[in-house]
Amino acid sequence: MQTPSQPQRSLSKISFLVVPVVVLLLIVFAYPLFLLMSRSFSDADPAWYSTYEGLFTDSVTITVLLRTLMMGFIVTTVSLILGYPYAYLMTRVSPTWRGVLVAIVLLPFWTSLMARTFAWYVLLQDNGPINEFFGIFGLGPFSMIRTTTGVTIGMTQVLLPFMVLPLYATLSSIDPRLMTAAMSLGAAPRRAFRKVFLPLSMPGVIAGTTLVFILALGFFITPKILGSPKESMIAQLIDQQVSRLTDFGAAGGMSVLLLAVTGLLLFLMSRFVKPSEALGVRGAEE
Amino acid sequence: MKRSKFISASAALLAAGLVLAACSSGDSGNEATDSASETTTTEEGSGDLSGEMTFVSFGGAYQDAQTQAMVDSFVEANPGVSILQDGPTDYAKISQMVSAGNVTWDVVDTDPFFPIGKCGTEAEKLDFTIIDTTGVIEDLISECSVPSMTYAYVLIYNSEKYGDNPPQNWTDFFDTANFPGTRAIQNSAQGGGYEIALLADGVEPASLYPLDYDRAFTKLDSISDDLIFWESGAQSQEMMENGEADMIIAWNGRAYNAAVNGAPILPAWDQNIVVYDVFMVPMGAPNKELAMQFISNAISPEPQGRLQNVIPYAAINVNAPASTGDELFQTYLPTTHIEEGVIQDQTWWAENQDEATSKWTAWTAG
Repeated sequence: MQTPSQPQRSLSKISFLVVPVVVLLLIVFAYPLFLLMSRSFSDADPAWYSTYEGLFTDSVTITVLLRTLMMGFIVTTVSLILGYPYAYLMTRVSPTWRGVLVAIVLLPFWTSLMARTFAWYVLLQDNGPINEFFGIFGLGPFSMIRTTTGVTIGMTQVLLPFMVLPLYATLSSIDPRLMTAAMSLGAAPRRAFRKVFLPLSMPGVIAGTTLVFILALGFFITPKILGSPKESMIAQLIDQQVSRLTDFGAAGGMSVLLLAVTGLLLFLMSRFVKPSEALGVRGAEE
Repeated sequence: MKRSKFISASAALLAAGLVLAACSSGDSGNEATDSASETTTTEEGSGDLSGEMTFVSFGGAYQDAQTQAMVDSFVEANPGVSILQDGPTDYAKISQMVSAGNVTWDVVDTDPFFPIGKCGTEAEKLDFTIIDTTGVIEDLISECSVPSMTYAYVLIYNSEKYGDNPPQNWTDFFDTANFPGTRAIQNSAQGGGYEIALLADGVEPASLYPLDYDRAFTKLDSISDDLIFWESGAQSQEMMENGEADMIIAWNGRAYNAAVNGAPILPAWDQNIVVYDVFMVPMGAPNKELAMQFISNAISPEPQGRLQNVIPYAAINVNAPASTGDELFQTYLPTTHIEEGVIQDQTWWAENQDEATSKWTAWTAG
């Protein structure tokens, strides 16, 4: 039997353990971020909003920002289409096979980003192995390198785990007997899926798509190497401001824009699903 | 008469030798100006400098070559000196170090635009009483920087594809009718794109600067269907090796690497764009004087000569011994092609970096 005060007492006993991590994050992450953001105001000339005025009136920045959002959208959609069936499969197979499937999707994490990206660079060439393979069947050659297609392929490979894992967490928590129950009540399998399974999987879908979208916004190396300059994303512009022009004000401004978009998306996501639910974390109330 | 003249001459020489020996011994680290005044171009430091300094460059094969050519010999000649190396060169890092007042880099190998543009603010003005610039190409020296080596953006073409009728200059590069094929240039404002477009359009090298952006873009647009871009040196080398580009404007060093790997390429040196790296000292560097001593040694003939034996970058000291590289090496070495090249105006670039870059970005990415 638990009295109302007991859970609270046990919480305060261990809550201090969070303090070191929070302090670390504040020093290493929040403070430099704050400095960068304040540079966008302090470096501004002549008015405090000059940096942002400049950014919003610069057609290149707007074009690249919109392109970044579009790429995020494309990559998220492709990841969802590939990731959902994959995650579903993971819930249906034996634990051994599940381990194999997890390993396959996590493989990109265990290799160097540069090696992976250059591997794609070689594979996607007009006269590369992939087009050669298609050539056997008389197809192609498909133009993949230096196109949105190539960049999407490269980015999806990296971001797929971020779609699959949250999805799996949610899908695995859906009681399979619910589907059986629906079908026993007369629903065709497809209807049962649409009316029972799909709605229950939404938290995972929302979490996965939000995560993938936000991560996709910050991509830099992949579009730089696999795309042409017309596929440049915002992080490449920020890099140019920092590394070449050492204009920290402009870099800070672009970063703030990116952060604002990200914050907005997270806020929207929280309207539909509790983050803890989406990540499959069992709440204390259960 | 002759004999006494001989004796007095020998006595004078002996006395001079003794004076030199006396001066160079018992030196403290502060007597830098003293040792500099008797350093000849064949000596590598007076032998008794001491202290620690940090040398920074772009890493990879280039920094390895600099270690072989300049760092090791300096340390050997001055056993009291220890040199830490770091890298790669990072302009944002230098800016931040200087503004935080916590500079840990003493000598940095950079592009010229940085120390020229930030002279006196983020780059120290060099002490030319310490740094001996005898034999160094004058055009490449500035208040805050001296050149460390020259390289080039050179036209590299596929020798198999163009066989008997190869492209030989920038006009050919833009002539898609007589020389069909894919062209590649670096996606960087300072990557030579502006310059070669204007040169191909008939602008005389002496009248290149200030750059006429619109004229350059019009010329570049004329080949936009056949034009692709490279972002990194490694990518440019890959393009040369896998035939992705039939013609490419690449760094001569990368072209050499590709040739060593068997790429079917040849260079056309006419009007190559001559570019160079420089040594600079960040403002507030902790070991300024030792840094200047190091630089003075690094630009002297012997180390410069050694550099162009191990890596195909050209010495910036005209008194440096000729390179001993093999035939393939010499094909890609820019030393003998500086005459026919066009030196990129780094002072103009330092001043117009922002505008030129934003226009370039708008043209490529917008």
